[in-house]
Amino acid sequence: MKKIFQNKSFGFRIAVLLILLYVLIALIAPFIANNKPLVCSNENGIVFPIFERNTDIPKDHCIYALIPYSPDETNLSSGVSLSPLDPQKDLSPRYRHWLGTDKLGRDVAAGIIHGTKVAIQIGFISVLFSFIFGVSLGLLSGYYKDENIKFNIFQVVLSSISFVLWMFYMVFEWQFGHLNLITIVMWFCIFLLCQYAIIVFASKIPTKIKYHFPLDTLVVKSIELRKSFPGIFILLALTTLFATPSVWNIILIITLLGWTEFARYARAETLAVKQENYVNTAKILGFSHIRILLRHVLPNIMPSLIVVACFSVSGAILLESTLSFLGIGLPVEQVSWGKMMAEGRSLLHWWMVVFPGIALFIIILCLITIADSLQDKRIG
Amino acid sequence: MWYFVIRRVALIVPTLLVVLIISFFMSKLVPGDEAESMLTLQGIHPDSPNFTSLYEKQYRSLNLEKPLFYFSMVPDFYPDNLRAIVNQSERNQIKEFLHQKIDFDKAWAYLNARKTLSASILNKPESTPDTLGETKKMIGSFNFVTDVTTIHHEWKAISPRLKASNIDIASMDDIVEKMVPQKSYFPSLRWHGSNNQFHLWASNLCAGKLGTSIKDGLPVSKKIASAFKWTLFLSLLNLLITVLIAIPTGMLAGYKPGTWFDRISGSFWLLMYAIPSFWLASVLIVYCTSDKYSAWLNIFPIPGTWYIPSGQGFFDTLFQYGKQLILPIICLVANDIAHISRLVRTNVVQQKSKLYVLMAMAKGAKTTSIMFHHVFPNVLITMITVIGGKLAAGFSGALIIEVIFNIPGMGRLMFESIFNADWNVVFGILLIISFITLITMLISDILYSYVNPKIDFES
Repeated sequence: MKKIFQNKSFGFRIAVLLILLYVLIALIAPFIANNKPLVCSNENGIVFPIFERNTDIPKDHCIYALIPYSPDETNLSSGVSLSPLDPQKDLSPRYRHWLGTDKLGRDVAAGIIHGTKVAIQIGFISVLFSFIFGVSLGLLSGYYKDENIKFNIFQVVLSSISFVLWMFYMVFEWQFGHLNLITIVMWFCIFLLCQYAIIVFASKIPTKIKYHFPLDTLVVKSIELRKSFPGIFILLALTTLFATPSVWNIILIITLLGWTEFARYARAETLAVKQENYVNTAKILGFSHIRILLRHVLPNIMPSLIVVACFSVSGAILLESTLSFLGIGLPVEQVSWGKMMAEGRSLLHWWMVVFPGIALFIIILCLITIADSLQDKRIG
Repeated sequence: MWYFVIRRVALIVPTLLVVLIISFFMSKLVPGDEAESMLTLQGIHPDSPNFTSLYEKQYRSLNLEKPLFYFSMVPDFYPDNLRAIVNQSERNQIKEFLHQKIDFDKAWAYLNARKTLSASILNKPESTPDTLGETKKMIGSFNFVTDVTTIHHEWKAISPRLKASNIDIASMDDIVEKMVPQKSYFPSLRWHGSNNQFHLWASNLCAGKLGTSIKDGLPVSKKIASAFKWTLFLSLLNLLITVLIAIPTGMLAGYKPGTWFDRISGSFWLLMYAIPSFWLASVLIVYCTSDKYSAWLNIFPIPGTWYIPSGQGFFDTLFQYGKQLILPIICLVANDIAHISRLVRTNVVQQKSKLYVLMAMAKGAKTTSIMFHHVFPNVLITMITVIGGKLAAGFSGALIIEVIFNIPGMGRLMFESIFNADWNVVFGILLIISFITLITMLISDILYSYVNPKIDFES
């Protein structure tokens, strides 16, 4: 990690700092923009109204958040569609809407702060999932290719039967409403154990009929399949399958669509690294395949994967704001940059278009700058 | 060469098949009842008097009573084909019973017994108005209960009343008694043959029939064809402008890396690359199409006035269309030019370090001639796949621009159809777009291998 930061340009350092700032803002968004005071002192001592649900709080001797508004706090009487350049005479500088308000009087600055949370959440979590899934598949397919995983006929038959049964029971238990997250994870672990047991014990059965497991072909075919569905169209079609919109649906969909990119790069890089002498040496030394993959191959393909990850995060954030700009996918009450921009466009409010857009533009620019300077290092 | 082309075309067939299957199942997974929404479009609502018979007719005409696929794998207490129950409320009730793990035969027997029982009671003349009136009310609400424990509970309350009024309930008692959830179940494979929805859908597709739109009853293929013209026009124009601007600037920047032109264009294209196109579009619309903020900037018409009066001269029409198209084209090309220009620059820099350039220099060729005759063709070869990918990606890039600027293309049609729950159109577009993407990739692959002399077709 230290190596990455050495000999880097000024722009790269700034970009990394800004990304960290965004993540920080996303994590502490309720403490930056909130209409409840952070700390109050009254006769009972010091209280923290921000953690409490009740609204009857003492109004004096309080420290408010930097932006003393919540993103969902409406003000229909006097604060509708205020431009930041309006005089806003009845508000003191502390309570001024520095970035204006929308048609319901909600503060734009508070909206941007809370929109960061959604953008960062969707961008980073979905890329984390697709990174894990895609890189592990890409590594395995590049390392083992089609020829190197052999199963005998008993292993093939037994493990495919167990796979079909597992799928069947998962689908129907889900339909019967007996599944929650914990049981899903439990069943998945049981399934993996079963598969492992089958592969270990069935290998003991003496037989001459052996099959190659076409892992590489499967991965390449699914990458090709993903490529044949154009990005936003399949995204829109997939969002319609969910009855209730939520952030996690979008994360799931972006993961489903995004893992192939990681698999593609991880596979190509693994194919190149596999020819290197150190991998051959490790093989001769008798290291296990898992050790070679994790200790020798993965660290060497990591730099280019980080580049892909940067582009993927920016792509995911862009997709999220595109979707919310179109008004699809996110719940109605969820504030996001794209929604604010859409409203600003339809009402011709420049402050609602420009400011969330700048927030979006800066994070994408930072991610691209990081990816760029990491890429240059590799080429030059 | 021809062997390669044929092989490449043959390889596309399984992908197409999977695309077909995925689109079909996605269109079947969306929430809602297709036949019901078709009827609602015609103005027949679920509380209309002859809704049931019309619904069944519509249901049959849409082939919804057929099984979904060639085979299915269901728990052993499921019926062969649940869709064959044409009556909507009966099907939904049976589905609810099945989801509570009630055997299909028992649930079906229960439904029939309840039907005859309630018919016999509700038709009974009111001899003893006090008790039977109350019982009728109870039976009426009992007809809508689908939760098994509640059924047992309510039946216990109703059955003594029925016994008191001398109605034979022995068989019904027996049936209700048997309504207990299965403890365990096993998978069973059911074979349906070729008389299924997927088969019919796919064979209709081969004949060019994509179904009808729920919104206005027009055939989907017609709607898509009229929208496709716009999208194709936009993406081709986008590609043309992109290539015309990006390749020269990229070549010039890569010609001497490190000069002021390279640095300025590099940072400029980096900025352009990071600009979200819909943000650019929104900013341009806010500032350039209204008098609200700056009257001198208001030089473009309000987006979405695509009605051009006929009977004008050719140049007038062209001018009016052109005026409309400038802003969307700017938003479309900004990202693409930046991307391709940066790619061309990197490629030129890479190619310049190759030995053939050194050789040409040693031969005494001029730098301009090296650039045009040696480096440029090599850069172009690598650009073919990128540009092919851009053309395919252009359709999805055009979606948001079409929505913002009200251009009646595929993206806008898709967007509107999603809001109207017009699934035939949505998945038809998805299918068509995937076909086109596949074919574009195929052509760019073939072209790439055709122009690239390094590819050996024998191996």
